[in-house]
Amino acid sequence: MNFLNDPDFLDLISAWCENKSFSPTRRQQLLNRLNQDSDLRKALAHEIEMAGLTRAVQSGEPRWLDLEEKLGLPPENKNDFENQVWEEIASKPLQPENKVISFSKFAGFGIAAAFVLALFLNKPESTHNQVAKFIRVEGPLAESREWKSLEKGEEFKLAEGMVELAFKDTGVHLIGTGPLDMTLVDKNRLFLREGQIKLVVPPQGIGFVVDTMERKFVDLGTSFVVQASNRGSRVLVLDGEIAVGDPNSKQSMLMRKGGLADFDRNGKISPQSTKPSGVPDTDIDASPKGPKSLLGKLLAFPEAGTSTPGANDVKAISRFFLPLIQSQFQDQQSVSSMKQGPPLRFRGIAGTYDQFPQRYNLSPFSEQHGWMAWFQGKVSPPQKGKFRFWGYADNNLLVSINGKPVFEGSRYDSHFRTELKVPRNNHPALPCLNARAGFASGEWFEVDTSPVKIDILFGESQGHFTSSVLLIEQEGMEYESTYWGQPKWPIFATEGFNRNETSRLRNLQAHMEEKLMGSFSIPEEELWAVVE
Amino acid sequence: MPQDPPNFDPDLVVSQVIDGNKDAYRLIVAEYSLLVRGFLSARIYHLDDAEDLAQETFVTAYEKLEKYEIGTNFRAWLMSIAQFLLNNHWRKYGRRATVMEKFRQEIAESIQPELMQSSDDLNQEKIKKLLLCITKLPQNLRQVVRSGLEGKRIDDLSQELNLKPNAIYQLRHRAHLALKECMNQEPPLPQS
Repeated sequence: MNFLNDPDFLDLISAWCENKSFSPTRRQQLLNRLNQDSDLRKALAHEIEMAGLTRAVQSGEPRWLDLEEKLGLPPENKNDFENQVWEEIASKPLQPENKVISFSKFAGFGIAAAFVLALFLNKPESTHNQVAKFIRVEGPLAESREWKSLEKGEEFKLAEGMVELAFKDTGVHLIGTGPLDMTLVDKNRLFLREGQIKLVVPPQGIGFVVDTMERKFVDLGTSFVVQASNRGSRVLVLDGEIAVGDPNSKQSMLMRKGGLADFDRNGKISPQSTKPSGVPDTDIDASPKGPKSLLGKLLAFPEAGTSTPGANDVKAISRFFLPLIQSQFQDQQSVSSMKQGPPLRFRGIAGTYDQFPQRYNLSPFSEQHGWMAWFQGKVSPPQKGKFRFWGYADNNLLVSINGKPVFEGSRYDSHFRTELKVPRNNHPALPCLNARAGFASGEWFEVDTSPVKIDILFGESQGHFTSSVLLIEQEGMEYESTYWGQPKWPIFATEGFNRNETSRLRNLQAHMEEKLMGSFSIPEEELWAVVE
Repeated sequence: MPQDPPNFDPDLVVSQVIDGNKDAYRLIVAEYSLLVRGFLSARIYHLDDAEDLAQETFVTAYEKLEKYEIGTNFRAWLMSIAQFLLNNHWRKYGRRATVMEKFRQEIAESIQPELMQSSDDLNQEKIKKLLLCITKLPQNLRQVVRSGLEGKRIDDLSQELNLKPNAIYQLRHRAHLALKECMNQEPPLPQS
């Protein structure tokens, strides 16, 4: 019997799963129905049983300390092979001399024996010790041999390029970039000596462990990136959560989506917060040239009269920009009293803008109290279709089409976010410059080839650490992707870029791809033409 | 009465434990933990409580192992311990339960025979397939199934998926039906 549309069934489920409240009359009705209807009882029992079971199987292996205490420690020889591999790893220097696979004597003997046995039995290939299969290898070594699989205890090194692996049984997916040096302890565990890997762990791989010299990272159903070098290790949780254990103690800590932390060789942990993006300041020529430019102005926030962090942002946005946005950018009176810099030309938004207001003569007002660049004009898309913006800004970023905000990519504490509530999706798996929150995306909007009015607000609330990226995606368009799976959407631009600008953007691209696993493309044909 | 899974002889392992090989008990835990945890997670709202009770089940069984009669049904014996501890939990918890918690207990009592039957229909082999079956679900159904683990409230999930709460329950129900079918049909997983 189908209970999908039975309101009693749905209410019983909501009471069971969500503790949803019902009136005494309704509760009695539901119990009466339950007592009378055996099919309903069966369906509910099935639903409850499956809900419990799916929770249990997905929640990973529990640590039952009381039971462990009863049973005592497991015998030391239980994981001889693993222990041997482990000792081998621990005894290796950081820059090992051996080039490829290393086993302990015991393990080597065991595998050799297995190999001989396989030959004896006339089997073409033994897969018993296979831990992971290669999906692809790119770089100078790619053609050097046939890449099939890695075995338990095998060390894998890659000086340049990238490798993509799938772990047997657990389905764990790994992407690593050279220089890389790691040992696959077994199908649930690897040791990362050097390099950067990203793991996506499906439910059956929950509990997968990545060890570095400093820490043990245990996946709890997630996607995360680990970097290791001779200075320490770093972890970034892209989705879900991980447990981070200290190999010298039983203590562990949980890290959740968006979490980033460094672990140095002395055991010091440094949770990372927003800091400079690490890319040089954007030195662009934004002075107006010709009629084909999208023009803007740079506005300085006045003093808020309080030292409370963020107070200036709240005051300035409430006082100057909310009336402007709410009037669909028609009522400019609110901003007319603000201190203004010289006119600006829109050159895309991508990079670090720490010195931006100083370059455009808004100092010292902007340094102390924040600033906002407002670009406006009429533009035509490269072709008709549905589009959406991607990006992020520390602090404020808002794009409006024909007076309606279609994208808000500001920092978590921006007053834009609290006041305007423009629909947005956050993508922490796509980290973006100094933002752990990753790229945000806006809603799709549709335009034909006729011009639309665009307004872009971008700025800083206080201080000098300003970064932003603003990209545009067209529905149905194929974009090249990064190793990490992010489509390289083009920078939203209204004019092409000259050689110097292109060179700067290429450096920014390299920085984002190498350090952050984010990227973009430099538009050539996807320019939005300024018509007014 | 459901029997122990083929290829696993709990009586042999129990004999080894009784003879002093404490470590052999880990085989029992490995074999039955999903079954016991699933049974308790289905009946207890908070996953932590269910896990604690599952541990208590195995500790109690270990302490009383000599009382188990070799040659009878180990699984049924173990599950009776879990049921006994669950009843105790409800009794203890019931004294300070809220109206809705009491309502949940009344629901559980009403469907007790059906719940037992549903639990009896499961065996370890089927449960082991469940994870694989979850990965085969379409994205939206998988998201709904995972939400229970992540402790997401239905309101949050309905906002995330842009669906009404009842539609989420319907999706979850559909996912459970698909999972059950998959668990019954899927060939055994390859051994590593």
